[in-house]
Amino acid sequence: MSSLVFKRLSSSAILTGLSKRQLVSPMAIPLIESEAPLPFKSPEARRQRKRLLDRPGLIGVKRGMTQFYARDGTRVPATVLEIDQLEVIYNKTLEKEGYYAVQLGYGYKLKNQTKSMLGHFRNAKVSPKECLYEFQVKSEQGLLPLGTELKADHFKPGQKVDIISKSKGKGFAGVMKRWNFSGLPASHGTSLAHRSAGSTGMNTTPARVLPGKKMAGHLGDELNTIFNLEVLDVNAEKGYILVKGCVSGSIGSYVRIRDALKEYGSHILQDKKTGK
Amino acid sequence: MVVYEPLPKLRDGKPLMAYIRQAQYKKLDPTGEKLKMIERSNPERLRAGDVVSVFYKNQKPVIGAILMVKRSGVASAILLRNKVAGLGVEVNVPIFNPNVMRIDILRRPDTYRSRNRHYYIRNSRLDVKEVKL
Repeated sequence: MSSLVFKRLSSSAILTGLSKRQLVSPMAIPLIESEAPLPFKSPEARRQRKRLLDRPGLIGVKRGMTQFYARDGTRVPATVLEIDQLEVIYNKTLEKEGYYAVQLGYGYKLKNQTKSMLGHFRNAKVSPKECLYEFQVKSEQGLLPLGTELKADHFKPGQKVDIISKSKGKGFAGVMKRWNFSGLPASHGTSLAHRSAGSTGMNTTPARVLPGKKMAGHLGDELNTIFNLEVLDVNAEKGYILVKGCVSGSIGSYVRIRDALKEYGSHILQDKKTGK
Repeated sequence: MVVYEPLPKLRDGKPLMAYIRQAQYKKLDPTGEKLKMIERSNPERLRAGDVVSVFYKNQKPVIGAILMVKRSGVASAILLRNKVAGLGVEVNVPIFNPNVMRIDILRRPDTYRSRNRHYYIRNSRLDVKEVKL
């Protein structure tokens, strides 16, 4: 304890702007240097709070469904995803774009490409692509050299993946289809309103429909993520992945496949705390 | 503007689903026996009304009359019906399952019933009789 007091006294002696005669409490901490905290809503703080993966995923095309026999003879439904002509086109960095991401391109399409896009493909020395998507990664180590070809053996059989794709559009749908409402009775005086929603709220108070009320509207054609699907089979040479279960969207639609975020992902802040 | 060539085509440009179908048959049915058993062009094919016994790799054989034959690629299956102590018992057998070793036809009816799926015989006077080895 005495040494601590001594230190504090000596440290106060070298403070600028204080005369040597001035009395300073021995327990006073004169100066602590600390980093300014990031504003909570800043993009960098948001990035650090976000759950991220170490490496990018893949782009694929849903080709249909089939069945897969496991070793013990159990039969499981499987979705076939094709991986073909998949190359790295651009890397986004923290310095330039504010986050790390790998931009991938799928397929081959020369028709209707703009001059600026052709230049973008030329910079990576790859052929013009049909479909571009980017995958955010945690750090610089996740970035890949431009022009790298990614194949189906990026994933291993038995691991879990998430699949992001656009669901089938159903158009303007009523409440029974969109929200599984029961509709109105078939008889007892119901007239021309059998599939109606019924009441949408109260009377004079609050005299309005509350926000978020489930009503008829556009159904489907929106991004949907299916988490933790098991990879059943992988063939890099023939270019396909078999995934257990079904995937949103019609046959021929583009899907994004990534390592299961809930299993393999982590926050940057979390990593700092655990000291990874 | 420089435009780079695409990568070489996979599977010589063969559609993926066609390739997978072929590869699955090659893996699950190398001799082609199982596929021939349900092909409509084969006069000796399995039909609803036949009495068959199914031999497995890891369990006892199953006997019964075929109620229906479901043709759907490697998910093709036959539905067997039998009576055990007067109680109707049905077993669905996916014929391309690697555990199914072989399917023997015990006897065929003299005349086949109309319809390909005999669901209507359940619990009627037309129902299957008890079959034993």
